[in-house]
Amino acid sequence: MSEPNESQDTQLDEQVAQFADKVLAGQGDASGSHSTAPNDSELAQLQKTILRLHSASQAAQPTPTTTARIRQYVVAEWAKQKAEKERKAKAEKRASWWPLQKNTLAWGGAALAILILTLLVLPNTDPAGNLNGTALDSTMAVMIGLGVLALGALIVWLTRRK
Amino acid sequence: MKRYELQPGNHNLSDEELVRSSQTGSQEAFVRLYERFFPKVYAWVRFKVPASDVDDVTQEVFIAMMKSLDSFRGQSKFSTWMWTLTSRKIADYHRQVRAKYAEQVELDEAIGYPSADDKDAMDHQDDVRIIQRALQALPQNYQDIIKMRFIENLPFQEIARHNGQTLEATKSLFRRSVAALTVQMEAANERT
Repeated sequence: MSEPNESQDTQLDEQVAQFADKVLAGQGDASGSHSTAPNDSELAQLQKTILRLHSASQAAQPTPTTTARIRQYVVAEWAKQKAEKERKAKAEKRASWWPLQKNTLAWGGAALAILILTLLVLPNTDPAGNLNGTALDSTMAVMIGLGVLALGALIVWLTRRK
Repeated sequence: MKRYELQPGNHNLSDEELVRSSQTGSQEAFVRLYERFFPKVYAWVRFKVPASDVDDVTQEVFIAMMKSLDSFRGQSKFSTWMWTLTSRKIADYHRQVRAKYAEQVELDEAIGYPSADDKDAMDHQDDVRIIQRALQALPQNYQDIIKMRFIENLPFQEIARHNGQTLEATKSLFRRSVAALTVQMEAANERT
């Protein structure tokens, strides 16, 4: 007993689906059912609903003005967001660059200080090639040495500064 | 991130290709995505919220899309992701409205009446309003298949694939959905 009903249901499913396909492809006839099969009245009702639904979905489409207006707003917001992302990316790049630069400065400063101190403590020779004490003997050398120490202190301060 | 450039004049790009390009900063790709989805989203929102609020809700959908586009990783189809976002915004809207209106009856009244003078436009708007009310009464799977066929214009084969059903089961679901909508539309018609 259930089989004929199932068969009718399947037939109705197919008829409704085919009708929907035709309407959505622009081939639907607004005059309604073309079926002569059983359950005409049920099919006719469903076809009418499909036509109304299709017609209403066309009426529910946005106007070109609405589409353009909302597009303008959304695109402007998109551009703002993009600019903000780029600004943040640059800031992050700067933040990751500075520690590396700080380390480079620290090492460079240390190397320079060592070089200058080395030069200062080297044996001092006169034009004849005779040893004449070290470079530290002269006042100028002391000043240079103090300057190097000051430079070193500055570098340490810079690297520890947050 | 490597910049994903659009080829000029190529309008056959998939949604996912347009998304990738948008994620790397292409405004053109983003605009194409918008133009592809806007009419469908707008039409569906029109069936789900009062006419006076359709523009705002639709705009919110696309602002939300813009803000969370970077989080789309391609784990589902972009259209699925987009419709989930749309449903969420529609649900948010109804939550806000229900907070203002105590009962469902008042929400129905809030859907309102069209203001157009043209009779044809009035008839269409009446149908939109009737369908709006009728859809609210349908189960989610009935609403979904109606949306997929009439708004997204997906063929039955694709709907079946999306739902993980046979073609016959999908057509049966469709017929039952239309039948249920018919009953609800008659009820909604009687209330107007």
